[in-house]
Amino acid sequence: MTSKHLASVLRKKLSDQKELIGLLPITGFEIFFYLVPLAFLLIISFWMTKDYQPVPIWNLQNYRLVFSDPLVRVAFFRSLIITLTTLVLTVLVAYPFAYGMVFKVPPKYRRLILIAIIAPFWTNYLVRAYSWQLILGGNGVINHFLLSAGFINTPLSILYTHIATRIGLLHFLVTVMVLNLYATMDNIDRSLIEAASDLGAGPFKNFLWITFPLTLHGLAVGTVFVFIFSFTDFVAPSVLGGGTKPVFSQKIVDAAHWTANYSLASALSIAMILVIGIFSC
Amino acid sequence: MRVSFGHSKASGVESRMSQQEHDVVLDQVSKNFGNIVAVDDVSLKVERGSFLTLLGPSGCGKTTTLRLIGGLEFPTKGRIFIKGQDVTDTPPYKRETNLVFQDFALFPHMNVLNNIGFGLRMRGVQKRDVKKKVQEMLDLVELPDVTYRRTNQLSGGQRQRIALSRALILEPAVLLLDEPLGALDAKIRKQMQTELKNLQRKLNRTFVSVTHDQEEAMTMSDEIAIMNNGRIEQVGTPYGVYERPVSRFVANFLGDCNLIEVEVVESRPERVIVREPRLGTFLFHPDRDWQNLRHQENMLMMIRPENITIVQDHQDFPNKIGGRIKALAFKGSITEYVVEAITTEIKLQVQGRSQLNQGDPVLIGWKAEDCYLIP
Repeated sequence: MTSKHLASVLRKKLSDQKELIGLLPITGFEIFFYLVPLAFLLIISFWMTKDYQPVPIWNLQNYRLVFSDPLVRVAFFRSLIITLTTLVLTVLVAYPFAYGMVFKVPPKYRRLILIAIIAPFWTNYLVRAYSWQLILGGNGVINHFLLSAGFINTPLSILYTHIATRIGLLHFLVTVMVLNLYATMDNIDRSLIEAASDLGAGPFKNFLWITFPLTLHGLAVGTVFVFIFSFTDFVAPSVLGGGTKPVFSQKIVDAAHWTANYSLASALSIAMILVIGIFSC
Repeated sequence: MRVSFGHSKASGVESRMSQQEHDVVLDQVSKNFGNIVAVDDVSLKVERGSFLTLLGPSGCGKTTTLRLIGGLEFPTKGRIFIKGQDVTDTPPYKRETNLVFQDFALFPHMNVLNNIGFGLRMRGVQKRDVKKKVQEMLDLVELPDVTYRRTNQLSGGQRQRIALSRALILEPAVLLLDEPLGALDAKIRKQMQTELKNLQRKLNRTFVSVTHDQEEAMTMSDEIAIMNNGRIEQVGTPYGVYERPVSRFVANFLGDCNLIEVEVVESRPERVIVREPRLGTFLFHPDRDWQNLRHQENMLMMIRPENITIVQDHQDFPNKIGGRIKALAFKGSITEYVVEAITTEIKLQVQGRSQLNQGDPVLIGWKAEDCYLIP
């Protein structure tokens, strides 16, 4: 190899490196703030807790608890049910709404509706959850209205049940799903719908064979998001659902904050991650 | 067998054979989009089994007219008839028309079989029969092996044939084509022009096509309807609209032409004499159908470049002008000249190579039958 050849090879290697160097900051960030803590979590889940400190005694005790403790199991299924019902309701509400927005509403009104949907995102999710208390509570807006109109005699207990949890989750997730579906539907090539119509598809068949299949991709993405959010959310069940029927996320918080059983909390978290992973596939 | 003479009236409703069947009839159709008038009082009749092209510049309303025939738009005014039935309010899925879209609009989430078979399945045809018919169709367009491929794996030419198959398999009374050759490479385009024309002849089905390409229209069509600003300027055979345009717009749109403003001096059925103050007097021999309907004094004399030749002084040409060659361009099979004659520039074309150079004096002329008068 001549020295000139060597020089050009080296130069090429260096320029390749330069491209990689550009990626370092974000990779470093991800590694440090995301992967490392996750690794810690994984490690701690196999340790024990003594005197409120994690101690590096390797064992599977925590996991045994996760899978056998009846309270944990109840909380898990409760989370799952809330998540799944929220998911179904979100789709049932968001899909027709998005469809109407894209295909039925005249363009000039569309922007207004979009703004109306996005506006709530300007307030913090936690704050909005608290404001639901005012609406759903015993003295809240709904009960006030129903009582004074004479529809009921005693106030409905919506707040501090998981109906309230679902309402809190729904109101956030429906808007997310609508935006997602709106983007998906708006991107559908209208000439495909026209072509189907020209070929003999009436409005219903057109929807069934053309529009709906083309939205499935976006719907899938939205569904995963809704699932993850509902399953892991801590705010809605706590603020609106009350503490009497804990969900899985609350169990993790219990373990971590109240009993300082970090190992257990870690194990629970890992379990949660696994569930989400399975669902996403 | 349809026979057409060269002369056509403007506004399009011209059929001399009114006892023929018309598959498409547009009766004073207008279409507005808000304040924009896209189609303005259009009346048109398309004979069964003929190939009609709507030709015009972008924005002239031709695509909208096509969509009106297909039912993808509903007219603001007027009525539309397909095979004698009033379909003005009929939605596209109930009309006997099918449209081949400009970008083909093939369904990306279906393979070729399901794309072509879509219309049949909407009609409730059994899967087995659909498959058979689709395969026959693919053999017809010479693509027997692509049945299960996804549409994004095909080339432009293949996609066009799939789109065509998808529409033709339903055997519509009228096949509508929106710029059918627009998305193809120049090389394939010429070939497809003849193929489409042959297909139409073989199937003996009414085709209505839209294009802005004048050559495409002339090659494929039995009749051309030239549109401008939402109105039909002229309907006629390719020869008819080319040699006998009814307006300056039509004359200019279909190719190069020379337009000279003249004054009518004498007007008789068998000959018309016109004069241009500085260029002289010219003779025009009209066809049998010629009528100077409005007895106009001022008209445009149109001569196509290929009808003008270089003449020698002694030759007996009724129409002669002397001038100087301002520019010339050798184009291979022809040479184009621009001759400056007193006040006007005249374009002409001769076969083969040129013997003359820029600046040379030249005498040019044309026969009395080779020109035309436009109001």
